[in-house]
Amino acid sequence: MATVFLHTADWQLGKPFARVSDPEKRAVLRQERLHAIQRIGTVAKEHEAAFILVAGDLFDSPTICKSTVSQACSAIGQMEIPVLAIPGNHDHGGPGCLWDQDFFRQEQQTLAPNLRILTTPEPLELDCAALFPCPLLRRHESADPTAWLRQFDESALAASVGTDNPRIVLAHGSVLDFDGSGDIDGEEESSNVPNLIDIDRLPAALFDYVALGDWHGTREIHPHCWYSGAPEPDRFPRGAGNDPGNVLVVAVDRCAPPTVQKIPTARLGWHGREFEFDGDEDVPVLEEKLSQVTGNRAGRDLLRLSLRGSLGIEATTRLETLLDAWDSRLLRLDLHNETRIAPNPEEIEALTRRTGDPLISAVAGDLVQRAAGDGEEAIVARIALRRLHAAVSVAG
Amino acid sequence: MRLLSIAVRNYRIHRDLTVELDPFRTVIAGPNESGKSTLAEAAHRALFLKAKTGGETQKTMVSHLWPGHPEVEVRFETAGAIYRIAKRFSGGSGTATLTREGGQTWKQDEAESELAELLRVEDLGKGKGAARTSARQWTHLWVRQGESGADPSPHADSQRDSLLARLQESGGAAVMESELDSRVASRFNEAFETLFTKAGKPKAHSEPDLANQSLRKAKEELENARQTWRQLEQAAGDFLAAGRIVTEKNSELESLSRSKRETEEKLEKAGALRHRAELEERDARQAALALDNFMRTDREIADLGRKKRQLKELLEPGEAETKRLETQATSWKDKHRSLIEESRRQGEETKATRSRLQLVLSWKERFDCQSRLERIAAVADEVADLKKEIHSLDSRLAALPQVTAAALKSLQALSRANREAAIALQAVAAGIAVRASSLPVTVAGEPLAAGESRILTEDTEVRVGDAACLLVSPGGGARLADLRQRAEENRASLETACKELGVKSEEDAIQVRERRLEIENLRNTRHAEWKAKGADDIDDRLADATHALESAAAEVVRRQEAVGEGFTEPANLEAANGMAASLRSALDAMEATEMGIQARIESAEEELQKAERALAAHRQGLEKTAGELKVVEIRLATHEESHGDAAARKEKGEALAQARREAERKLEETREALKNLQADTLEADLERFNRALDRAHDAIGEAEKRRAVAGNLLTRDGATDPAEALALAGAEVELARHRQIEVERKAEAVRLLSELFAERRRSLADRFTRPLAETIAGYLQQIFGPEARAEIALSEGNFEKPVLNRGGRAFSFDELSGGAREQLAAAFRLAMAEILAQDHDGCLPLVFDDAFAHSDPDRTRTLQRMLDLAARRGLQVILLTCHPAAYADLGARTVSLSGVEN
Repeated sequence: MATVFLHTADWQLGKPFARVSDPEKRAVLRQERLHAIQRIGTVAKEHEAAFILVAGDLFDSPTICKSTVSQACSAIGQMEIPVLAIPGNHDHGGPGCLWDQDFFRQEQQTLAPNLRILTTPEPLELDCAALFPCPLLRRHESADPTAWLRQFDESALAASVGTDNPRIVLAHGSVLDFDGSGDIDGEEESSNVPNLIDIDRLPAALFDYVALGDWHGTREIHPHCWYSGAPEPDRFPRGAGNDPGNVLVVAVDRCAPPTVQKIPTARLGWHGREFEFDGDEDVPVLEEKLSQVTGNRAGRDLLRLSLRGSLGIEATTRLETLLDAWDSRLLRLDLHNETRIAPNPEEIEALTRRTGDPLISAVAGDLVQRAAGDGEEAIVARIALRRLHAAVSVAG
Repeated sequence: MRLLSIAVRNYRIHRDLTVELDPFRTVIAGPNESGKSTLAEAAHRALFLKAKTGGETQKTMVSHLWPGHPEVEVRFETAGAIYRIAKRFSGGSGTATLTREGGQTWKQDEAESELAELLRVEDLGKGKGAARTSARQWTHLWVRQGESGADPSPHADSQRDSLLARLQESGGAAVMESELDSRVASRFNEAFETLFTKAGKPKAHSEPDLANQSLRKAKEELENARQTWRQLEQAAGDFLAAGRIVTEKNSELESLSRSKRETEEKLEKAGALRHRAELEERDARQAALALDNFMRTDREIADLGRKKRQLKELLEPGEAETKRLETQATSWKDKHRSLIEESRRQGEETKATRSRLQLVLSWKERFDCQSRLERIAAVADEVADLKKEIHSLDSRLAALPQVTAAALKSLQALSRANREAAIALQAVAAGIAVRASSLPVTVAGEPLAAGESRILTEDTEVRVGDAACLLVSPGGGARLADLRQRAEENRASLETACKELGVKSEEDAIQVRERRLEIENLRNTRHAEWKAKGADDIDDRLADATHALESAAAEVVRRQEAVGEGFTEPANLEAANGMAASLRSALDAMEATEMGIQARIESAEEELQKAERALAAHRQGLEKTAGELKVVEIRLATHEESHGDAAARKEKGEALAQARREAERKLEETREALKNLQADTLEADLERFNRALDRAHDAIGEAEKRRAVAGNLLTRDGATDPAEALALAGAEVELARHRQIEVERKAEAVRLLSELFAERRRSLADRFTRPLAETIAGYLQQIFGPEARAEIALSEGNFEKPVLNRGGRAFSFDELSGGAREQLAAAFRLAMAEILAQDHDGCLPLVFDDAFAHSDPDRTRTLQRMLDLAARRGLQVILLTCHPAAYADLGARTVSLSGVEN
């Protein structure tokens, strides 16, 4: 009978979401990651998983604070099945690591006795599986963390863990066939990271499943080698192939191909949209599009919005009002606004052809000219134009 | 508008004055206090001050000289008609009458209103303020005394609307900024001032400043967070590094311990080898020593043989040398002996001569002693004679009474007292003298012959013959008796004294004294002579001389015995002296000879000693050589006895050399073994290993300490997450930077707006001011030449101070000289008037009251060209001056005011 377990990784509990400036929204984002543990627990129960494997980065940093540890241990403790995790690059097992801290040990023993951190690269035999953990003992490991597995041959493994139970490798890092287009770890980091795993050098016949962590989207490397991805997305999507927000239910048997089932666990929506203004009348169009993204939800979505094109002065003001509203509605509005303020002909005429106000006309004319470029001077001129427009509107 | 005439009555200094003005150029001349300025002021007030104006203004117009209210009448031409405004300034009862010649007349307020309209000034109404304001009307045309050098731009401001309206026309459809323009421009200017300092830097606590501060603070916090994170990373690094060191050093410890053990084993082996080497070294040393000893003995035997031969060779020629040296010594000995004999002979001869000389000398001494004895004997005779004479004199003295000087003195005192007593007695006595008597006269019984006299001191009977017996009684009564008694006592004393001395009287005593003195003197002289001849020791000397003569005679006898017979005695001392001299000479020659012999003896002795020493030394050398030869022979015999003959010794030497080689070979082998063992470095190696072990232990200890320290740093309580703090701080910096950029852009937009408005304003103002500047330039060029330009700027609707540009260089109004300021201000006023004149039928009057006080005569001449240009352009120039001659070139009508009018 196949062993069923949950493969997950990259929980990154305690992630600060520092770019979210509103502390309350930050707290929601962090809390949601803890809630994800409960959802994972539910999935485990539903699929009668024997254990849960966390392939690294259970926590977001090796110096995570005690309150997060307490909440995490509490949530894990409620899963009631063994949870086995290896240190990843975020929560590596180097000197001063979280796993050595007294407060962690205390909370683990008290709240999550089912949690076991595998900090040593040595086989571990469970009732229904043999585990081969490849922990990261530093943030950037130059050596392949799975290298130690190459020493084994079948007889050695048979002597060590027997031949009945499926053999599962647990590792954290990037495999060689990544094309580098995806986001391996974190919002700002490139794919050019250490902790490389040369999966092809792993004696495939010896192991039945390789549970990988580090890649936040669910991804199959080989039929027996998967990245589970993060259970709750923590960044904006960066391509169609990136599929975060799942856990994998794996059924594996010795010397048999595993069956892998992807179960979605995400709750928060991370969206990316691009929009180009073709005229002032496009502002309502954008409004409509944004409404389609989140519907009437508030406080559950994050949006990376890239705006281009140009708008008249009044349309720009309307856009800003709209964006203000969305900023409050979303957990985060990551705005990349490259919209240029380009006064429409009426606005230009209204400012520059004021026969009774020669100064305003002349200054407006100067600003229109300066605002035409792309440099800093043009940006300032556009702002000035808006202010002049506002001043004339108010004073006139 | 052109002024035609001004008439004043009862106005301060003026009683009644009418000045007719030229339509273009009038010079009103007059000395100081002649009322020129008063006239100009009166005209101004007629035009602009309400007739009913009272108070201080009115009072200042009232004349203290002339009764009646001040009145002013001005005729002027405007709007194609001639008007006359007549005002009486009498406070509330003041009157104003405006008359258009050949037409309408207006009175009072109507007149004032109509006048204001004609002059195109605002009707100011009544009241205190109106009087003050009226004084400011047309001040651009009325240049009051002392104001000519002031900045004219405020006057342009006062006429701004009219001026700008005209400039707008001439500027070509230019439009002035609107109220909205001003409001918006002000708003951005205010916004700029809120944000920036005058230097253009963000103001403290302004939005850009706060944004900058926030960014700075965020960066600081990020740096702190980074620092904390780095410390943790450092601690982790240290922990790992320390762990690595411990591992490495433990590995080193193993290796070092192994090396140490090996070295210790080698050392043990080396110890044994060293011991063996020591023994072998000793053997080798002994073998070498035995060989050396043998070789030395062998060499010694050979040396002894060589020496024996050498000594024998030395001994043979030694005998001949001995003989030669002995001969030489004998020769010197003979020579020495011969010289000794010669010396002896010479000594005897010298001795005999010396004895004869001593004999002669003893003779000479005897002659001397004889002679001396005789001399002393003669003196002794003289001494004896003197002695006798002295005795004789002493006898004579002894025969004389002992009248000493004191006795004589005492006797003389007694004599003097006696005489004095006699005199005193005679004073009371009576004298009696016998002149002639035929009868014998007796006095007191004693005859008194004729010619004799007698003193009678007592009652005395005088008898003359018998014929008469007279009793003569001297006077004095009782005192006579005293005197007689005293005289008697004195006489008795004198007699006693004379008797005691053995003299008869005082005179006798004196004579005796003189004789005694004479004899004493002679005796003293003789005594001194006696002393001088050595009378005291004459006897001794005589005895000595006698004794010396006897001794000399004895010496002669003794010397004669020594010399023997045959040597004739000299007859006298002279002969003796001659003999002595001759003998002394002979003796000197002998002694010289003797000394020469003695020197030769000494030389011979020296040579003899030398020869004897040489002989002795030679003999000693021979003896020594013989002794050495003997010793050598004995030692040679002993050695040969001990070490055998040459063949035996050769055999023994070879055996000893072989033994030595063998011992050295063994030692070399042992040493080679030690060398191969590198025994010399083993101790150092061991020490090195021990040191390295210590160092490794120290390093491990140190690393463990560092690991413990790092471990402590890495141990956390979980209260905070430095990684989170770092991420948040980074995001905060990004946010702050974003905000700062946004705020800065907004602030820059305000700056841009403010600058653009200011720039556009200037540009607009330039368009307005250009015609004014060009008009001013036209006037300035009359004075400063064709290069002169004026720069006129409007700032926020107000004219700024004019700038004079000459030859490309701009001079601000304030940096000009007083004269140039007056001229630039006048040009400005003329240009203004020219432009404004368009509203006044092309003419306006300009009153210059002593306006060019700072201009030098040359400049005054050239500025008349400027004033003339103004007149030619239609303006009416009225100059008030106390130097009319300076403006003679103007060709103006000149009106002279002489002073107080009567």
